[in-house]
Amino acid sequence: MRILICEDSVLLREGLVRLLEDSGHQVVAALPDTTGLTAAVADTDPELCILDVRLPPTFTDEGIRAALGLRSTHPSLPLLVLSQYVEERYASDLIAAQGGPLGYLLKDRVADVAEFLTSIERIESGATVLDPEVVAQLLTRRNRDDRMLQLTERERTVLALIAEGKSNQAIAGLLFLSEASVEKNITSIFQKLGLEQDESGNRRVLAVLAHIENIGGTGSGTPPQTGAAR
Amino acid sequence: MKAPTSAPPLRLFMTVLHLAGLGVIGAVVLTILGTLLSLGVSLLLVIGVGLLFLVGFVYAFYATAWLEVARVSGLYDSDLPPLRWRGSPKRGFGGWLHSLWRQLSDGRTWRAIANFVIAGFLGVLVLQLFSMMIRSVFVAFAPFGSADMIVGPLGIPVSVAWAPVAGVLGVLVAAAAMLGLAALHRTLTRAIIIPNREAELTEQVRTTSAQREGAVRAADLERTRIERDLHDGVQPRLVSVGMTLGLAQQKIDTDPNAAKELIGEAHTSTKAAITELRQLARGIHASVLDDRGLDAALSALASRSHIPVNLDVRMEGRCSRDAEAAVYFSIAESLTNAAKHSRASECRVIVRVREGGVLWARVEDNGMGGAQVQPGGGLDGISNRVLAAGGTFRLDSPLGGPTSLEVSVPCAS
Repeated sequence: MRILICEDSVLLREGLVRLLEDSGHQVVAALPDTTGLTAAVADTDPELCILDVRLPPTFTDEGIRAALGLRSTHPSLPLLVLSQYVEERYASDLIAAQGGPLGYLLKDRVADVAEFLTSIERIESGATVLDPEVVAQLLTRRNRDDRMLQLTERERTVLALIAEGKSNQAIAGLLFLSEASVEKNITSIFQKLGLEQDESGNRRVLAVLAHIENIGGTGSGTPPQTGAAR
Repeated sequence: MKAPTSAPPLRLFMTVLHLAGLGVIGAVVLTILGTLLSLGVSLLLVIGVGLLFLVGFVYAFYATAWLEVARVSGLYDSDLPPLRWRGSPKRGFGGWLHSLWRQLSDGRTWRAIANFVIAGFLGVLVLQLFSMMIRSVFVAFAPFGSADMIVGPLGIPVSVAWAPVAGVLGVLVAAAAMLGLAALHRTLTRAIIIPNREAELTEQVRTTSAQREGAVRAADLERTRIERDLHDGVQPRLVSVGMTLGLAQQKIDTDPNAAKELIGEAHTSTKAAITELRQLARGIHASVLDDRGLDAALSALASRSHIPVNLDVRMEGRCSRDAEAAVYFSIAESLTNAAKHSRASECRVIVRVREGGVLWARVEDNGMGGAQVQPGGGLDGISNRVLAAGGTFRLDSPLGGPTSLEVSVPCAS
């Protein structure tokens, strides 16, 4: 896979390059900040772009803004955003932007090499992969919503796993259920949330997330602030 | 505030001397002030140079008020706080102008000037009485002269026969009047310059709230710095250790040698992370500072510095924890800056306990200068910390260098 990296810490950047190249991927560019990111993407035509959230010069959310920028210039480019914090708001912004496959993971996940590599491949193949902690925050924030309250404990667990980008088969394995009963749960969730039944794969995750995003706030993109860090 | 104690004869006599002195120099000082002001105002309208005279006026005005407060404080042996220059919280040229304005609009300064003017008038009267006294002495001894009539103490002609009586009376009246003026001066001064309880409390509140703001801001900046240090230093290192170990784990069966190398690398990186954590913790709180005091803490600081530090600390005993910490972190920040940005080849640190229990420190380097207090920066943090400890902070760093930083903090803050 041809990968572009944008990470300011030399240590992590070189670590990522080594890890990815060691696993047979090709790092086409490794940038320390977002200057020239769009040009680099245009030049190298990567199949995945990995971005750190905190980048120079302000070390706040440059990575998110760069990702949103890429969504408009290269809408179908798979993006993986690495964050030091669980920031439900950042994830929401990215989900709301819609477009190609999306990953939002805590930086710590890089240490689980095998799982990290799987996530990368899933994103490249079109899945959406969100960090379990991000999903937990997203769902906690929506729990006050009436329709979310209608979900059973089991359905909520399934919904969280969908948001993490797991396939029906994987969910069945994790919850020791048959695939058929997972599908039954999903049908029920979609019914209770009032969603189209025929969504599948990445679109399914985005549909769910975009939906809970909308019913949680006013839908204008400025939902009420919760106890997110910082 | 302790009111002036009862006036023993010596104090009355001293007051008379003060008044006599003011009678002479008061007019001169007021003339100078008046000239500066009128020149300033008139030249300001004609050509801009009037500004220079106005600036001179403010400084002279403040100096006069300061001396007056010091004089009254010394004369009446009261614990009147000295008049303080009301520096502006703003920086740069605007801040300087603002601080000039603050002196001019400071009530205490104006009251001191008012007292000075009144004392000057009383002084002129005292001088008149004094000359009347001298003349009375001459009148008293007139019978030993040859004249029949003589001009009395009040300018009325008296016959020589009555002259001794008139002379003695004149001396007594003049002396009594002078003492009366001295008493009047004391009463007026008490009313004008020695602050009442309310004004004093207002002043205290003003100082305290400035200190509290400084403390809050310093703590805020400190938290931001710690967060950044953790995230830019220790966290990436630990993530990288995790990544290296993860890679090693994958390779351990297929390529044990490569795995071994990776583990070695992770080991080295872990040790570096431990060092970084230790340094970070030391940056937050220097425990040696509590245990052994500023001198010992500075020795450790100097030995860790990347550029040679010439350390000259002369202090006996300890100061308060806040004072020592404020000075310690000011020096630490200066040394870090010198090593990081100034391209200096050496630094000099001087620490003294000055008269009146003030802990004073100066850090200078031979670098390229250009250091600035930027909002949210390290120097901003320590300037707030120093302010919070009731101290003062002065940075001098022209482009091209050298840089010097001076901090003074009350030892018992």
